[in-house]
Parts: sequence; structure tokens; C-alpha cells
Amino acid sequence: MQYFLPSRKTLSALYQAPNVQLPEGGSPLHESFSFNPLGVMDVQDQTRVFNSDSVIWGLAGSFNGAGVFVQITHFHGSKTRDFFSSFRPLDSVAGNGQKPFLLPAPYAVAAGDSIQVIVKSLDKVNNQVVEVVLYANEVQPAS
Amino acid sequence: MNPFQQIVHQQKITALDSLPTYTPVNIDSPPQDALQFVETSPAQVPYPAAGAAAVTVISYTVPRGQRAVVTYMAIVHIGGNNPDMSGNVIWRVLINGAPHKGMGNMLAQIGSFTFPNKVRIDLGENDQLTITAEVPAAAPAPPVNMNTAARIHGWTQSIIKKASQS
Repeated sequence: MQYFLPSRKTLSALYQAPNVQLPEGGSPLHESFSFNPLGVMDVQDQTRVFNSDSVIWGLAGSFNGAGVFVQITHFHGSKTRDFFSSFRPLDSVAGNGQKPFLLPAPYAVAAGDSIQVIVKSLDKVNNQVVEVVLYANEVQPAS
Repeated sequence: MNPFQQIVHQQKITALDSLPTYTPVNIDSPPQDALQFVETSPAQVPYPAAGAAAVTVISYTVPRGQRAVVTYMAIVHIGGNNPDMSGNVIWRVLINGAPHKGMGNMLAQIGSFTFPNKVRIDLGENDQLTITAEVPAAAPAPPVNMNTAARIHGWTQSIIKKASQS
């Protein structure tokens, strides 16, 4: 009898998430997008430029009101990619600072690329304080 | 980073060049295979009581297998005593319940049925666009003969055809 077990890549192929498994030589590059305040039913965006090749491996976020929808867009020259098919509730796609959600695979970002985070408030009464954090590591050339 | 990791990383960076290119849509000349649509409030919608839940003025859901672009919009007050900028009425344009940028707290009408305003709202498959109206609790109760209504113009395009053409 032959058993077919799930295919598992080696951790080194994913070169990954917990700090001990991240590639040597790369320094943490945690990009924080802070929206303080995000007004009532307001929409705001922020953009960060990555100065070096990096891998994004985790996502965390927080808000203190009725809710927030988020979309993250990667700009690579004239090319773009949305992280989500549409705006998603922040608490369904992002963990917290202690336990960030890990991406299924590390997401590569080239030097000079930019990442835009757009947040939409769902609170009709109060302003919110919203933070979205991308956990990343700079990638150093092979030694 | 070891050499193997470097190879994987370089492959991922190279793959970024195959991402789709962002091409702004000319809203006045939609693609040849686009289908125009106009959605109007089925009737004048009475304002809700002050502090009551918002009323839906118009609701449009993008059909399955389609994407949509809303190109013109009108949100109007019907009746005397124009409430523009008084804060007595708040209109919201929502996509799947979340505000569209700049349209989450509108204190004034947009365009008119004769001259709707040009807008650009991209919608994906099954996205729902709703326009709501509400009267804040601190505002005076709207008279019974005051109503609101809205209309949107736009076009849809098959995402399947779009994918096969690209």
C-alpha cells in the first residue's frame, strides 16, 4: 500500500517567518502604516517605498472602532498587484503584534517598489486609530 | 541568505515583471464589448426620521462574471428647503458596506438627473454599490414631502472575455 502525503516544501525554500528561520544577513524591516485619526466613514491611504529587496512575511493590524476594511497594493514599476480580491475586514486578514498572520509564502518586493495601504472606516460615530504593519526582512545577496 | 534562497528570491523578483499593468480606463470610451447600464431609484425615497437607521436610495450589484465601472452619478434632494451643507442629511456611497473615497459623508447633492456628475468607481464581480441617506439625531425631522433619489450610469464587461483577450 502506498500513502500519498501532503507535499511539503522545505523551510529553506520558503525561507521564513519565525525569526530563527529568516535568511541570515537580512535585517528586519517592519513597515508601519499609522492612521491617526481615521475619520468617521473616511478613506485614507499611505505609501511606502522599499529601498532594498525585501520579503514580506507577516501582517498585523489594529483599530479601535466599529471596523475597518483594508486593501494593500504592490506597485512594481507600471505593474500592480492587489493583495486581496477586494477590500477585506482588517481583523480577518491581519493578526496582532504578538501573533501576526503569516503569509502563505513570503512575498518578494524589489528595491524601489512601493506598497500602498488603503483603509476604509466603517464607524459612523467615532474616529478610529488604525495601524497596519507589514513584517518584512531585507534580503542580502548570497554570501 | 544561502545560494538556493537567492535563486528563489530572484525568480520571485523576475516574476513581478509579469504582473498586470495598470491602465486607466477612459470612462467616455468604454471597451467595445462593454454593456452600458443605468440604475435609478425605483421611486422617491422618503428621508428616515432623525437618528433612525439610514435608508437605501439605490443598490446595484455587479452581475456574476462581470466587472463594472460607474461613470456618472446623481444624488438629489426632492422637495423644497434644500438641505445642502446644513448637516441635516448625510448621503453615503458604499461599496460592500464600506465608503468610497470622498463619498462616505456627503452633506450635499451630487449632480442632477439632467446633468449627472462624472465619477470613476471600479467594481469587481458581485460587488454591491449602495447609496444611503440618513438624518442625524441632532437634525430637525425632515418634512414629509421631502424625498431623495439617485441614479448611476456605467458599464459592465465580462471578466472572462477580458482575461482571454489579454
